[in-house]
Amino acid sequence: MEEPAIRVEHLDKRFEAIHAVNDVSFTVQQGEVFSLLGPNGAGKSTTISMISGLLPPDAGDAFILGHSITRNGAEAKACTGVVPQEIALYEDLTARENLEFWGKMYGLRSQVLKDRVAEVLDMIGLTERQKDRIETYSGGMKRRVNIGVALLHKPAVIIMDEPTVGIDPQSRRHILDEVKELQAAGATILYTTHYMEEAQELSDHIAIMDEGRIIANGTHDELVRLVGSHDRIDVQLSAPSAELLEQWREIPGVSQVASDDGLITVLADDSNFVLPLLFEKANAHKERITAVDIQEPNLESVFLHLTGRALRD
Amino acid sequence: MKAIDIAIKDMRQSFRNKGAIVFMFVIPILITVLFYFMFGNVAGGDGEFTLPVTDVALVNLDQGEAPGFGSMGAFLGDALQGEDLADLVRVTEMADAAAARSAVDNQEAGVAVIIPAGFTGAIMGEGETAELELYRDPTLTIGPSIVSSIVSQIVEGMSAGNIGMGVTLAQLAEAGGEITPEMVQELVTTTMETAPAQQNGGLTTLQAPPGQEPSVEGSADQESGNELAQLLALILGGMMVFYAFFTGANVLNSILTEQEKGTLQRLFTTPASHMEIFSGKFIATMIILTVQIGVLLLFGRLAFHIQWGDPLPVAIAAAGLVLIASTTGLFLVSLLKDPRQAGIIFGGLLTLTGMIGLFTVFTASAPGTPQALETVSLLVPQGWAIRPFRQAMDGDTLPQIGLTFAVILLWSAAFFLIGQYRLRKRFD
Repeated sequence: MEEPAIRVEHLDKRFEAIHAVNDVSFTVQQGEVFSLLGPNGAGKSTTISMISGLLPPDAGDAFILGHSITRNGAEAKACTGVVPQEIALYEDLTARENLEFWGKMYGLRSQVLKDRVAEVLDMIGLTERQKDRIETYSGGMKRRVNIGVALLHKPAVIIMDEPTVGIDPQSRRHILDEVKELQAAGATILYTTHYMEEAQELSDHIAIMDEGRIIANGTHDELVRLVGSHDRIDVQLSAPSAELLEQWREIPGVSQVASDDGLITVLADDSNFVLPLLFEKANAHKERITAVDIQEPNLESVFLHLTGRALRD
Repeated sequence: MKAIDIAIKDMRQSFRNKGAIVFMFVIPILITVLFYFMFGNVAGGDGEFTLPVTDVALVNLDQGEAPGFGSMGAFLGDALQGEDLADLVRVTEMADAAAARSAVDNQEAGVAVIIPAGFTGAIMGEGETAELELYRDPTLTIGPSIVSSIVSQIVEGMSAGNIGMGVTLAQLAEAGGEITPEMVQELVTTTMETAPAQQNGGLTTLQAPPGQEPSVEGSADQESGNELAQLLALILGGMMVFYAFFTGANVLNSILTEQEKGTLQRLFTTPASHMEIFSGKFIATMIILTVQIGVLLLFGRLAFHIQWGDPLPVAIAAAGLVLIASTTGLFLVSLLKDPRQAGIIFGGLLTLTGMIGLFTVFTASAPGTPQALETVSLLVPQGWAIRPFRQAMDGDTLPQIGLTFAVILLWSAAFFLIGQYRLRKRFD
């Protein structure tokens, strides 16, 4: 049987009183895109940090193509490319100088290094601007170099930690397309995000994390099936009150009600039956429903179903 | 190899940083040049320096008579008007103290030398006391200081000569020898006549390194030029040491700035080991310091004709400075949490310790500097860092400089061990 690209076994990490990662295990097969999905603070970045060798685990181990991160860290790192969440480049060096430096850190030398730098510059579309310092680049261009650095040594495994946070839709689209291209070229990608749509679009497998634990793991369809036949109703209220939400929870057929910034998400067996009752209760409280959206079950519904909270929380 | 790659990257960043360049080269050179313009001017086009001639208003109120010699006040006046000092002081005799002070107030003279009435009696130890007054123009710096130095050394020479003569006569008396008036006359004359030469020699010897002293027959221009070069050597040497510690700390501060910007964490995700990463940064610091010190030494030699000393002692001194400045930087950075703390700590602590350690540089030729200050300066690394440079300039032997270097090595080893222990504890 083929060696998994990533094998995570019972990883555990505490920061004083906070149990950031609690007995996390999963496996990523070669050539897969595997997403860790969860809200901010779920433990995704800490898990990624341990797998990429940045943080030592308190317990457990992870293996990159069979190389233990705790015992054979250098070998594990050599076949991994890491794209950090924040842009981690030397702003006072040019794009070429950055790529050459990081290439050397991965052991590339002389002509091989030159060739790979040229290829990556071409891949990220910055050949023309290669001699300009990073500080003169736009945010999107910096993101592209940030990803390019991780691709220099043609790693078998690429770890991307929320690479689309805080960027414009065009750059985000560019990155998502790039992930697909990398997968098509045979790379294994471990991707963390708190955007449900990204995980849904990119991933072969998804692990949902919350409070340091993996609470669900599977393909998109497998995860959605966890919700059953529930409908998801997103309701916008003029002034949501805790009392009204409590009354909605008591409506027969409603399994979950979660609130996030005025947007109420309701999981219900049958939206046709529940929806009039939602309006009725709102009217009784003199609250106005300003928008309603009924959706098919998705990863958001799964998270709500499993935690009682919206993924956006 | 990766350590070298990291060192090259750090050096490239440092030499592209305009602020770092200013601290490394521009400020030390600028301060030295400022001192040069304060204390000297360029004489003609041959690059030699001359000190300005100071106008002295001289008042001699001394009416005393030393047996067989005459008035000590008159002797002091004659000494000041001697040919040897003609290029440093221009003396105008005045009738009374008020006129002399007025000449200074009106900037007709830079300093007034007022010899009191009981001057001879005080010098000859006849129970009298007298206070020789130097009234100076507060806007001038070097001129009055030179006059003060000349006068104080002549007076000290007179006192020493008097004591020596007394001892000689006492020894003759004890030996039962006959002391004739002619003998006393000859002894007084010899003692006093050698005094001015001792003063002048003492003045130049004080400020010129051994082997570099102007000969007795040397021109006054050359003597004053050497004095200025030595003054500038102390200033530039002091600035070099002062700012080398900032360079060491600032370059190693890249550990904290890289941590803040996430590039350090990214480095940790590459196959480069922590040892390689931190070694690279330390190597970069040492190379940058070597360049900084080399450039400043060369600049001092070419621009100001500073004689730093023989090459080997200077190389040892420079190596000591590189070591202690880089390890002090490592130690300080290991104490900090983020780059924002660095500004306060580097600015405050390095300035304070720099001032303590280099205090002796700025008081090197000041008479009466307490020995305790020399000792206090050795409580901080800057005090030890400047020491071998001064020893090299003074022509000290290699074992003497080696001893100082050994102490520097101990400081460096302590800072290095503590610094790397704390960084390993933080990042491993």
